[in-house]
Amino acid sequence: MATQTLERVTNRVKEDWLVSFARKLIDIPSFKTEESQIALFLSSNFRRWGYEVDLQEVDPGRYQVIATLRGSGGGKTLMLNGHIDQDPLSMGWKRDPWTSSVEGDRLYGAGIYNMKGGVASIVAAAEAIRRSKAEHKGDIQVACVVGELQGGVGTEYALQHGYRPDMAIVAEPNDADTVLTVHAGWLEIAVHVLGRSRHISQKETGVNAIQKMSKAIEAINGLELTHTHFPALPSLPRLHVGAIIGGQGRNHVINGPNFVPDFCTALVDGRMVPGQTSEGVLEEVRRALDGIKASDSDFDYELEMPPSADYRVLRTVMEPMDMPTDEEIVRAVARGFRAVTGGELAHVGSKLPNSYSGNDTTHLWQAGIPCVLYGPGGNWDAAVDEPDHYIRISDMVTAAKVMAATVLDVCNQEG
Amino acid sequence: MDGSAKQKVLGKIKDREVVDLCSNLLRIPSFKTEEQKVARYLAGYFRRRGYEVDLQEVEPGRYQTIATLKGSGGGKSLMLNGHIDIDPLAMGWARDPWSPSWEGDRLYGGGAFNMKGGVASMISAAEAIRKSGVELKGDIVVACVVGELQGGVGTVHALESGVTADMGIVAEPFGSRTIMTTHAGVIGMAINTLGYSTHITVREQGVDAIAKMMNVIDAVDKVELRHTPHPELPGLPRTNCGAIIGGRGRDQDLKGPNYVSDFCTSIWDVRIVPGQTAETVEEDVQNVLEALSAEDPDLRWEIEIPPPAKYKGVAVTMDPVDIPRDEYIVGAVARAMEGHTGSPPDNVGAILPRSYAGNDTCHLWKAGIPCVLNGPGGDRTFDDVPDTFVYVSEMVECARTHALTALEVCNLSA
Repeated sequence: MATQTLERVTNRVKEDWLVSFARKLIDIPSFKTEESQIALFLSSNFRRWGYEVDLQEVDPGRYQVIATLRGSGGGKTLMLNGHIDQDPLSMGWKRDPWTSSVEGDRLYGAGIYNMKGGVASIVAAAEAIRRSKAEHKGDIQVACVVGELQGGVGTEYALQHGYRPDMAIVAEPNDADTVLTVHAGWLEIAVHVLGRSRHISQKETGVNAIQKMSKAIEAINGLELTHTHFPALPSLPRLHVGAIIGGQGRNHVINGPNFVPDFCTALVDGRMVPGQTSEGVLEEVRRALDGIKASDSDFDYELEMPPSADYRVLRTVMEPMDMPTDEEIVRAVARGFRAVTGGELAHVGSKLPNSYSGNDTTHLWQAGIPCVLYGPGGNWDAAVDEPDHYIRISDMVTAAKVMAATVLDVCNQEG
Repeated sequence: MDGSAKQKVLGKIKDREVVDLCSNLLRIPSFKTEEQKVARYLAGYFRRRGYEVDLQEVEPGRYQTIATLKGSGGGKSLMLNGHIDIDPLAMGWARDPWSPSWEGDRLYGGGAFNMKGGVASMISAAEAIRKSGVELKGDIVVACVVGELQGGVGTVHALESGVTADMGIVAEPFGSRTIMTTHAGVIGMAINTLGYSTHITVREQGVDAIAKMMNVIDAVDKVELRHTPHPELPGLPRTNCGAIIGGRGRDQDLKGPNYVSDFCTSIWDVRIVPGQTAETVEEDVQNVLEALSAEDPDLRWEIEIPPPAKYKGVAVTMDPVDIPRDEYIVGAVARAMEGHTGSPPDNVGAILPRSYAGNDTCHLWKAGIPCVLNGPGGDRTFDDVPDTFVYVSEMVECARTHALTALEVCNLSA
């Protein structure tokens, strides 16, 4: 790669543009299943810039966008992947989450950390290539996918609909000096406990599903899952109940507390280490709950993995990931980082707590596409006890430059 | 009481007419908060017959009907009170719930039991007086109220708007041979636990509102509420944890179970005996939670009585009621019943399990209006066919009892 070309490209990554584009992304709420507005915003920009735009309808009325910048031919294809769905807001934001703000090197706003900052970076990387008119033989695919927080339904959809890049970068917020190839598996299970409804005046003859659920929660949160210790993920595996609803009937009607509740659902989140499988974990949960049932004949339960779509949580399973670090995409990003910063990556392989999270690399790797996690970092400031999320602006810039350099490298390799 | 007046009035109460009126009400669904259609029907019904009609807007777009048959003046007034909101339908009705069906002594229909049967009885009583031409000194106030199933928001609204009477009968479906004077208090309570949300992978740094709530439920379920046992309400007080919702944020977003929950709400129904109040219950629960907090510094909680409206449960606390048996209205209804059936009431006081539930008498009594419950019985069954019905003979009997009570009470000098 000619140093001059590289400089011409990386000089096209402008901090002002990146921040302003990221702020536009913050302005458009995009909770999971509600990503269409931001997808349409992105697709209209991509169209204006001359990309081939594939607006995919993942569920009825639910869109994601994959924009392709065609290469001159004969090179490898690289996908830059980022999810456009954002986490629910936690309580107690000090700032207005929908009014983004720049404070020093931090850009604050709802969803910026996970991962509108990363999405802005992949768009900036592709745009730097396009605007500099640097040659790339292979295609660049900018995949702005939905539902990563549901287990990666958007990336799965893209793979099922013919996308097969040679390599991929998923720009999750793990810091601009970090390349991850290892991550935990992620599963979610709905645990339903069934009771028996009676009027409060006859509650002794009822079975309170909420109180029975208490036993299940204790068992699940404390369950010691079978596994081979995986040093890079020392505190895994684990299961945790993160949401609950209980009341009357399978729709959990909560406005009839004069009756003993007969249906309660807990949503369990689980993290696995390489070597475990989701089916194996489900079986262990079943055994634990059967243990409760053996000592309490009134305890009755059902399990669903993944939980039904009504709960709008994980809709698929992310199996654990452990890709060899000598794959070309790992080396290519390391070269790009060196070329842009003059230094070496601080982490290659795994990093905590980041590697505890499942992500879309699992689906790409299972489809045979070598891929890494590489993107700008940030978080929230535990020191001041506030949940407000931010991204580091300098990380967005570095990540965009390194990704642009990686594109120049990979897409000019013989395809 | 003038014997001929009595006969004239009783002669105006006919099975067919009572059933027709009730059937018309049954054809109009009126689930709680959705009563406006039946309220408007009743307003038209009363206007055409010369009553003074107060169509009250309880909440924006939500109406109830208070109709007054004016007396000639100087007498005591009697309120006949019945709620027009109906319970949700249980699954599996064999009949069309909105096409009433008269089978033998039973009139089936959605809401027939609780309590369109009673509403038909009390209206029939006022109608019998009007049609007989017998003049009363005091007013008969026919209050067809909304939201009894929400704790009595309609009766509370009527009282606050100035509707009043010297005595009252609430026609809940507890049996035509019964005069109920005693019932439990009903309190809705929400308990929130507050946590600190972190990602599951660093859950040790979080505080799990759901796990805390499980301890809270366990402790509050065992709370010993201060009270003096009431012999007619054994088994009370009692609590029921009837619903739970926990997730992220005060709206309990359920979509992020990959994070430790930071807000969890349990919703409780509490039944209390006379002598207890919402305040004593709140203090008792507070004491339990404070003891729990003393052992667990991470436990943060809130109690809300009644729960916020968004949970659509009991919106108004219903105090326990124990009307003294020597109140005039108790004797008047008993005399009226005996006057047309020849025998005194089967029960006066508490009737189990009905007295475990609250009803609108609590609001009337609190407002200084002595009152009793007397209304036509019926049934519903959860285990077989869930179709609810009211006994036609009891509707007629109650209409007669209420009419004769009005003849007596409304001719007392104010």
